[in-house]
Amino acid sequence: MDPLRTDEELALDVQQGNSEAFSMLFNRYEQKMLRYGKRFLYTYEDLEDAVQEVFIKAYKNVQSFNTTKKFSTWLYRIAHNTFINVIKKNGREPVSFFDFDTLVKIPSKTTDTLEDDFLKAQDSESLAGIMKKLSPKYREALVLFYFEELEYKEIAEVLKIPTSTVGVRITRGRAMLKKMISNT
Amino acid sequence: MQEEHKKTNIDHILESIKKGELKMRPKWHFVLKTVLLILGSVILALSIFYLVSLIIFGLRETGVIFTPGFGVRGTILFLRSLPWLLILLVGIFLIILEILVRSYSFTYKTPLIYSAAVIVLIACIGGWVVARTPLHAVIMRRAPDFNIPFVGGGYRDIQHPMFKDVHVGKIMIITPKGFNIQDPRNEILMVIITPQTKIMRGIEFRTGDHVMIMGPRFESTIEAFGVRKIPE
Repeated sequence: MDPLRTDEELALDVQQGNSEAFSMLFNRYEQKMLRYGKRFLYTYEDLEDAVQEVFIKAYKNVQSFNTTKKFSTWLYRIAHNTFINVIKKNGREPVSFFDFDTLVKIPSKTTDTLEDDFLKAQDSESLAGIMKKLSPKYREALVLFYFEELEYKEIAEVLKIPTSTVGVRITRGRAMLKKMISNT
Repeated sequence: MQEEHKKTNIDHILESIKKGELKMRPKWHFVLKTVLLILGSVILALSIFYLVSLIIFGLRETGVIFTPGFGVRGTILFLRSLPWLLILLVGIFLIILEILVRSYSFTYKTPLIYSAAVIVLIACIGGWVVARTPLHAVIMRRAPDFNIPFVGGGYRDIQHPMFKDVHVGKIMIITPKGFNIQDPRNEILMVIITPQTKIMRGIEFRTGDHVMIMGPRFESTIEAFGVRKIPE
């Protein structure tokens, strides 16, 4: 199979019953999903099972994927739902049903150079260690933005929230993180 | 080691696919889900239009809609006379509708308050449009005969309202003290108008006019606090 085929073309192949194409998508995304899960779920033990669950769900629901859209965003959406379920099941962290940040459009700075520079200067592992103290909603937005390098618009699609809310979460999460780092 | 684990994971999934243990949901499953979601949203929206229009129709028929025009006393009476149970039901339906449409990108991409405001606005406009059609008047005429389930009682309440201080009726005769009206129960009520009665300037009452009177009733006499003509 042509390794240059796009994710969307491969997804179309999967829709037509080609399981080899699914295997290629798995190879392309398994590490990304493990990394996303590791940063988002941290201390949860069942990370690998959760990632496997993501791919099982992706296969089951692949017919619902619109091949004119981005496959990665669709897969991250499945991963988000699966990981949130893991957090809810474990009951260690509160996941609110309603988020007041989605209520109105709160203006936020899309880039904050000072804080960005400060965060970039931190060691990736120590940053990751501190991030687990953040609430899941801020942690996830930061993980998707800084580690998965998704754009605001893509994060909004994954989390199904307004783009302005993504900005608010990243700005607040970054400020919290900076405060935590300063206190250590 | 990592390569070995990777193989195990994907091999396990591929094996499940081959064995038929892991199956794709067919396309029609998602089409059906979307159709049901759209259908549910449409039914809910129509129900909201119906209920909002029923509220407007009821307020208009009973004359309550005109009471805020009589100042603070009228506004208090208006708030007390609102069909709160129906309004609560509309509120619940609006919340369900918001949750249903929130799965579409055109709503989740906008802040909740904006999409909710648009839905409420559409519900009000839709309800107002339906209220202007003869739908409720036709149902109300048939409600007592056909004993329409669920809504029949509501229409009977509109036809024979039990409000303490709000009365509607048709002017039968002009009297030296005011006029006599025939209310929806075919009762003849004597309306007394005093210099303190609030009446819109320039309005003249004639036999056959439909009017709304605000004021306490003593047996078959109403001391009018305010009177207003109901537009046909």
